Amino acid sequence: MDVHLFVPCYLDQVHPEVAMATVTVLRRAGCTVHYSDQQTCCGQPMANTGCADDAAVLARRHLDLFAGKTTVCPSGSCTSMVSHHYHDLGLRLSATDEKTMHRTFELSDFLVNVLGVTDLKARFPHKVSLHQSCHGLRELGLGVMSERRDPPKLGPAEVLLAQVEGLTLVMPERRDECCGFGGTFAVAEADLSARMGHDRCDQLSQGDAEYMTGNDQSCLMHLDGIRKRRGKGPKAIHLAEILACQ
Amino acid sequence: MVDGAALAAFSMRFQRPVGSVLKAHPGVYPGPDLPASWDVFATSLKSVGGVLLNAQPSQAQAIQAAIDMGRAPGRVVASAAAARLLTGVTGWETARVTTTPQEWEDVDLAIIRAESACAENAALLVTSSSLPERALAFLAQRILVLVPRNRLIGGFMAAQAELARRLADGEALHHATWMSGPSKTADIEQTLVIGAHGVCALAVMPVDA
Amino acid sequence: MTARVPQFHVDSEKFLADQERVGWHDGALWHLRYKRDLATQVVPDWEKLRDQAAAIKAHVLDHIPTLLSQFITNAEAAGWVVHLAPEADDLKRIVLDLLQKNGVTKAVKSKSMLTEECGLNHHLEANGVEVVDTDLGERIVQLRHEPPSHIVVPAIHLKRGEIGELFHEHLGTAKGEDDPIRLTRAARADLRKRFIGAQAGLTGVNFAVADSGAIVICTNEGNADLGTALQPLHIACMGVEKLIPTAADAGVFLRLLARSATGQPITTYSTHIRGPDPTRPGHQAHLVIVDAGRRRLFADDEHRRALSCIRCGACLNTCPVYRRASGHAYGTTVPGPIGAVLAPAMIGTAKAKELPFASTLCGSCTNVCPVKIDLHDQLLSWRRRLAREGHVPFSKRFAMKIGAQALSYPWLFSLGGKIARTFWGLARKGIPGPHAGWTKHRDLPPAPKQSFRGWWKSDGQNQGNPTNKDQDHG
Repeated sequence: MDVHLFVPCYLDQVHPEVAMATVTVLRRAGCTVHYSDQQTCCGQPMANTGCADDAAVLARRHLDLFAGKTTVCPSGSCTSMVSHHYHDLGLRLSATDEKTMHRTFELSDFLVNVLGVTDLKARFPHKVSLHQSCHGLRELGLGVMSERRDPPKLGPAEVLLAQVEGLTLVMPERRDECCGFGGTFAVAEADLSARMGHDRCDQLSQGDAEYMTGNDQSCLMHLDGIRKRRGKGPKAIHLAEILACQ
Repeated sequence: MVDGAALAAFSMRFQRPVGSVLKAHPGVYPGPDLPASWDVFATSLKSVGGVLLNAQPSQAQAIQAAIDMGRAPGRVVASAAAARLLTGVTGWETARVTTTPQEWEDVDLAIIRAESACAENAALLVTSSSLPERALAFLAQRILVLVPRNRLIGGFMAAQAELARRLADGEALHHATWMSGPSKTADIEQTLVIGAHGVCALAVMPVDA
Repeated sequence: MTARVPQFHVDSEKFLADQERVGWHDGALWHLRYKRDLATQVVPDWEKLRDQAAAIKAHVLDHIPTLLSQFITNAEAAGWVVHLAPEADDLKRIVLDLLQKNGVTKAVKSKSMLTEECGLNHHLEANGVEVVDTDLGERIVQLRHEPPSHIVVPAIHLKRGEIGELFHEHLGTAKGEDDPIRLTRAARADLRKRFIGAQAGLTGVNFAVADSGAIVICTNEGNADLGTALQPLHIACMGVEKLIPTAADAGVFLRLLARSATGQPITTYSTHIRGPDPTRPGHQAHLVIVDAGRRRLFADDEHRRALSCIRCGACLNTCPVYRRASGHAYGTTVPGPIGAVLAPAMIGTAKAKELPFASTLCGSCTNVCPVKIDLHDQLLSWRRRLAREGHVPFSKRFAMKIGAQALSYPWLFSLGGKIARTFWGLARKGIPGPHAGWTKHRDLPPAPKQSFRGWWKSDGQNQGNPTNKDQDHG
């Protein structure tokens, strides 16, 4: 299958290894990966700050660039921005735009629920705790939400991690508590955000986890920054990087 | 009577614009079919801090034991509806109709009759029909609720639907209370304390009525 | 709502300064969320029940004039004296008039967020009526002269030792007594005297049933019952949004309310009252129906559904920000996610401008809400409104504007990234300027040698698989 890679702006510049791992994983799953260096940002920071007009400019660029393509992104919140929140920006959306939004998938969702691939022949002999990032979980439905009473169905990240050789998965006591990142919240309410991050690091340390993983590098970057500053806790690693390991 | 013009002016503020599509009522919700089981009721009751008593070896003996339970009872007062079920039981008085309900402040044990019980949440229904002596049920230190054995309802949707029919059909009910366990609070450090302002202990006995 | 301007950032930092207390507060509220989870797990139709509740509330909000007229007709037939209060001042005037006409100097009041929001207590006290809040948590904060920090557990921000001190001073408990049972018993003894001595009982309303003129009041302590069954005068105050069509509909909400709030299957006392008590000659029952700004929320198509709120507090308990900031940081009568959604309409966007940003938009509030208010999306839509009205700080708006411009040009984005990576090393322990908040508590990740787009151009597009041995996880 031909897939077009949507690389979140901060991944491109700060965590290219996650996007590289995403390429590896998609190729291993049999996909032909395309990438356009005309892409920049989906507009989420602007949208979450309320600056809908500024976000709309970037959303329009994004939709034109990915028009009608099957798009995969290694971030739940950036995916949700495109698939769920482009409706909020006052844009005139064409049928093609709607299709583009509908055909934008988060990586683990794409692997498990579109390709039907669960075993990526990965090997990662470590204890790993899973941080389910909020937008992937509660907006895209990529897992069991602790608040709801839906029929239980494992999320794609759990399905994929279960197949990784040598990996022991640890679920934290509060399964899906927010890490406190929250975009500009992390800077505007830095103390609150950090306190939440500390608490989440503690929860993700349970069961002697060596690594904490998830499908949103923004949350992981926040958690890992706190982990390094305080000098203890599991190291952050994106789900794509674990799946790329052999 | 509320002044018509004032009401019209007040209502105007909450009028949807002409031409709005107004959402219809979703219809009566029957809820799940939950079993009318005294075992389920007992579990629910325990979770809300109440106790279920059996009418053994006889109803009168069991009620007598409940009155005498633990300590020398203080004042025991039965509602008029409950009094009719207390044949052969001693050591209690009937609540008299009063305009000064404060006089029940020193009641140790109140015995009242509930009209129905709900297994889903251990709620017991008392209304102005079965308990015109309303304050008695809240001022007493302890309470014994007698409920006809055949008046257990499984789910609360069905239980409340029955009360709703009575209210809508024009039965002159002034008050109707679902009571689920004794009064309680957790306002100090989330520590559950049974016995806030109202009763400190509640026992339920299914009876033949 | 309170007149003061909420200062979330400043006030949350004050609370955060006591790190030990923050952890304790978070734990206490998470315990409520945990009990809510347990209670909802045993309800086979939980999600359907929420759907039904949301649909009933949506119906109500589209039919307020009809339901109100039906309710008033039935209420008056049952003997209620109905009053309309367009503004908070009308509520205060009506209640004071009634109390004064009846020579009331001592009144008891069960929990009512509405009267809290309108400042009723203060008005009555200033005019010589002693009002005693009878919900234990409300009594505690009343004695401390502070507002509730939570709508269900008003004194959740206080530790037992602090309450022990307070009761020692006001109720004569032993110095150092901090046992919750003994403290509750002391409050019980004091409050029972006040129930007996009061000449009037004020209550809120949880649900107002249109087809029978009954109101439903829910408490665990029995304080609304003791505060209506003994006094010769009952005054119930309700927001107009409390209307529901039938008592059968109340069944849906009674199954949701306590489970969402505290994890109980139903509140201990769920009492329907219709007019004055016929067994007590001379007993009066008054009902005050209040707008006090609700019309502004009603007129707002994007946020009208927030009026569906049944005040269970579940969104507060689950909110990771509320749990660590405490209710007082919000500076409004109703704090937490629902408070932040209500406030911009109720007190104005200018005053409430910080509150919609007091959230990570994690969405847990939306998932626990028993009437399915899309709380986190409502917060987001308020942010858009605030930005449109110019209430988002210039620095933020400017950064977003510049960001959007720069990100519209891939070459500029790419250049910016290169410059940033060059100077990255200097900034690892502290970035200057508006983003200093990031490095105050966090280390930056090491700067990568090249961007993804750089790698793709040089290697990625041609090769099979990239390696990941260069990654830094340290």
